Amino acid sequence: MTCHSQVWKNAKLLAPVRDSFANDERLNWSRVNSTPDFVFFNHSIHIDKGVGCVTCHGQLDQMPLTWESHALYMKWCIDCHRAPEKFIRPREEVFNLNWQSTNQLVLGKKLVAEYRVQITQLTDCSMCHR
Amino acid sequence: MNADSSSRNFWRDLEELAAPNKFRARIRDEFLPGTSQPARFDRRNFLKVMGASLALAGLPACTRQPTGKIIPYVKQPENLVPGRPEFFATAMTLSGFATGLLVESHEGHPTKIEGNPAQPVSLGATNIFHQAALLDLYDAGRSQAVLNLNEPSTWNQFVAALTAALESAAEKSCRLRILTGSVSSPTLYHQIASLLKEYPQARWHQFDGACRDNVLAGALLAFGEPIETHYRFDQAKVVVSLDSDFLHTHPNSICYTRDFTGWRRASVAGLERNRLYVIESSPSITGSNADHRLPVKASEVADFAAALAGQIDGADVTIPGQERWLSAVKADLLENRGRSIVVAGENQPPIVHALAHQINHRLGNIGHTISFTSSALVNPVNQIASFKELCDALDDHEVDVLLILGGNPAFDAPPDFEFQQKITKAGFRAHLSSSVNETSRLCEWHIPENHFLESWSDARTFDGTVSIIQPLIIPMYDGKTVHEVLDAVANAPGRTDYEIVRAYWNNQDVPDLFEARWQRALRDGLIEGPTLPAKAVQLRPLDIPPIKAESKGLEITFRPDPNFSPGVSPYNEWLRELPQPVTKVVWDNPALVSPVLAKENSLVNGDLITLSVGDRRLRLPVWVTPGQPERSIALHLGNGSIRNASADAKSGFDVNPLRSSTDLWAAENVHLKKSGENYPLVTTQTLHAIDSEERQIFREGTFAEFQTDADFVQKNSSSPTETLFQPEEFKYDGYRWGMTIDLSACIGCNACILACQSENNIPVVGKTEVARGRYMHWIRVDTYFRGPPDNPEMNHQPVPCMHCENAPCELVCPVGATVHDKEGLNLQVYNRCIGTRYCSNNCPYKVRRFNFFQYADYGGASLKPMWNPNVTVRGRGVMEKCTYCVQRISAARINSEEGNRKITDGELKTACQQVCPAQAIVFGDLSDPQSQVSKLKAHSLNYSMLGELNTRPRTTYLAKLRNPNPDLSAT
Repeated sequence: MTCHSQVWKNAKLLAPVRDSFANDERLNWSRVNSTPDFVFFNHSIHIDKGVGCVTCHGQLDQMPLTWESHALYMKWCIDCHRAPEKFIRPREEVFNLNWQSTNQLVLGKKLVAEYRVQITQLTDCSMCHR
Repeated sequence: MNADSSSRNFWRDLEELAAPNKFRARIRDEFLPGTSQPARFDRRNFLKVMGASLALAGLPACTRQPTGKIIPYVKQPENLVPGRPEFFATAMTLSGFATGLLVESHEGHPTKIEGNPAQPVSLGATNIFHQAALLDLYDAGRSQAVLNLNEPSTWNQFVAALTAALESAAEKSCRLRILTGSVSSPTLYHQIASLLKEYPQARWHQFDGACRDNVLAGALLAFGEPIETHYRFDQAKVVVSLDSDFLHTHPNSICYTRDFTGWRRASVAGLERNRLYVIESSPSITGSNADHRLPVKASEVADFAAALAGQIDGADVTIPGQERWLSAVKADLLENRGRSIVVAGENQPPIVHALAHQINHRLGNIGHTISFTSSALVNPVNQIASFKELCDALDDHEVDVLLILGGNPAFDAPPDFEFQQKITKAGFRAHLSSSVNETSRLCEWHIPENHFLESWSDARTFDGTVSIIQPLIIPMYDGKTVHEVLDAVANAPGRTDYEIVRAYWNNQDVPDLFEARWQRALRDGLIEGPTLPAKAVQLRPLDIPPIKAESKGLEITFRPDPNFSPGVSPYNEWLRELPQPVTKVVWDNPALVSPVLAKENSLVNGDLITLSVGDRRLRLPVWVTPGQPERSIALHLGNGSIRNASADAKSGFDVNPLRSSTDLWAAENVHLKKSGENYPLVTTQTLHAIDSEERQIFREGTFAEFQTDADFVQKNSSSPTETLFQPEEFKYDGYRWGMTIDLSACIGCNACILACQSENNIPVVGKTEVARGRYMHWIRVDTYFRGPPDNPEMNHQPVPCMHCENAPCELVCPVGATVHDKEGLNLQVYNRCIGTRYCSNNCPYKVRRFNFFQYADYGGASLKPMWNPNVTVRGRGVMEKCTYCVQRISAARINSEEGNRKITDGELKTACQQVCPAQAIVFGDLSDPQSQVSKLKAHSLNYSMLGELNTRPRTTYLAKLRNPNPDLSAT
């Protein structure tokens, strides 16, 4: 329930969520963002290093039904792992879906240094494949 | 003897000793001949199938992956973050004694067992049995339902039938018999004691397959009390083992291993060193670590003990042929009064234990290296007498209700108890057991026993510390615990195991403080309180038995299988596929015979023989074992039990038919007859062997040599100066991981192999696949022998991936599936690997393993929740190898970076390092000069295996130092 015990408490669309909670029955969600079994992804370190939710998941606040905003191909992951300065943002803006940088490259480089992002290491195979 | 000449004298196999060139030719190839072809599949057929598959290749392309489902918790448990493991303290018992554990759980599935570092006895280490216990939980062959006369039934029906049986006799006069193994659980003791009070006719019997009767009987003989002996190996400079495998089969072996190897680690190489003499009847882990080892028949150990005791008392006794040994051991012991230990083995008769006590007493060891307490077991009895009493009662129709709680006595008991025939005379028979085994099939009722990871209970460690056993998962099947079964007897319908254990401890405590203490005990994994108090002893005068005349007769010595222990399922496939410590035989328990005996009877490995003792016979294959006493044959107990009638293929040979209740551990007047047939036995000893001629793979020396020249290991080792590599082409600016393995400390217990198997989802492949060289263990323990085959030195060397700086495997991979990372790890990228196996062919250390089949599916679907979710389950056609537990490095790195700090030394441990009771494996950051591993790499004993190839391995070894007695080594 979490958020929806407060927001859109009576929305019809969310009836299955409320029923699940009331009847103690599990909900089967369809997976939208999925990585293959041999890819190991850790959310917490991405948040810690300033990768915003929106960067990977898209404008979730504007999705009536969630869709995959990026195909999650390896190339797409690597684009950021090679040049994180193009994407990372201040930690306090990670959850802000509408944050826009005025000068991303300057800020990004500063944040890469500040957050000690080890760029050379980010493209090691062992970062994601174990 | 210098390092140069010694290296050439090592051998791995008797065949190598006899015909080195032939052996070398055989091990030259990475893959055994024929291994690379599927059975009955020639080139022509291959092309046919390839053609077809090419034609069909286009069909399934471009489809989207099926949509997966996410099924989250409806109400997420507090503190649980999906993807982040939780750890719970619990404990496991082996032969009744507990070891504290910390078990890793991912979303409710236990995935890895570790030792509990808070536990004073084990300090975070475990052994092969604790590691393997995880597989038992997920084992599909476990018993899953209550059975009545082999038909599925229910617990309630069982309780009703039991109640009826109990009430059939007049008021509480039911002649109830309870049979358990050794028990250290205070709650269970309380339950049994109250039952015995409630039913005056009731009796409690105990019987374990490998009982320790002799230890307690020996103490009774020496001190008049059946007390337990505690050894301080950290204080003992000289240790004499009289057929005792105290580094492996002793209930306190984890503690003893750490204490014993504390004298031998490279970090203390400059200081004093202990010395171990082993007199033994079959090569054991302890024997393989001896500085001097004397193989004698089990029956002659008593003579040695008597002669030694006599000599220490100044008597003029000796044994022909062993004069030098006796006088050297005596002199060494007398020189180290108060700093020595004489320890007798469980299989030796009470008199040997009593003699050991007397020698220790005369040497002033008691109070220094040795102390006594009452046993941590709640009611230690003579189990043979106890079991005999039960059998007699059964025979006399004096048993109305028989409850067998755990174990498999119908299989483990020697046949002359006639338990199998007598048990049917009991009125009502029920067996609680994790598998449907021989005993279950003789009982009307079978109740599935919960695994300890599904149970509430309690138990005590060898030193008396109490641990609460708490479950990590709700019972998977309709199982029960011993507590629930006994509670059903007392107050049907009974309470849950949680209620029983909690109620017991609640009654022990002050009501107001209980809840806080209970929570703390669950969190810490132990109840703080005094350990067993030391007991003062009074030595009784002993009649030293006269030395027997040497007998030329053939003798059998029965030994617990090194890979089997009561407490772990005998069907456990991790243990069955684990190479035996000395022979490296897998999946079988051949009769171990000496090279001399083999020659006399022209036996080779795998020859089937018939052993007969009186009118009892047994047919099994032989294994010619270096170091086995000439006239003694060792048979390993615990094998050959048949589960679920015939569902499982039997593996191993049941040697119990040759045993008798009068002597559990030996049989004399044995006749051996060769049958002329052969049985395929599989050993890993010569698989993945490195051609070691002139190469100093295993380096060692003596302590004396080290004292005169600390750098002796470095001599004669050449590192090439010319290279096509640019040694400093890559600058490491972060962590540089590395490992050292201390060969002086390693005892060859194989715990690292199973810890790695559990951590890294390594599948079991089966006997026929192992025979083709396809076992999957990422770390192997090579054993190098030296000297005469009758009594060679034994040396163990664990070999994981070396993570070479100039890795030969990386150069030949056509698809870049094996590459270096920025922290120096040599990676294997499964999703890139196309299975050319070039890397494996080019690896001089032979540490790469190839998935010839979909081995990961061999264990069945029930194993899936057991797999470590942080490690890929490898598919067919993929190469794999040790990763330095890269998933642990990654977790530690993320954890430290989120805390804005570096990984501290010791924070990150590989699975093999964490399990090692000898602390022989050290892993850490080489760029930190203060790290433990950096300091060891700077040690003068440090060397690289095959360093002359300029591979610059990151895993290096610390050469082994022996400490031979000059009086015995000079020839």
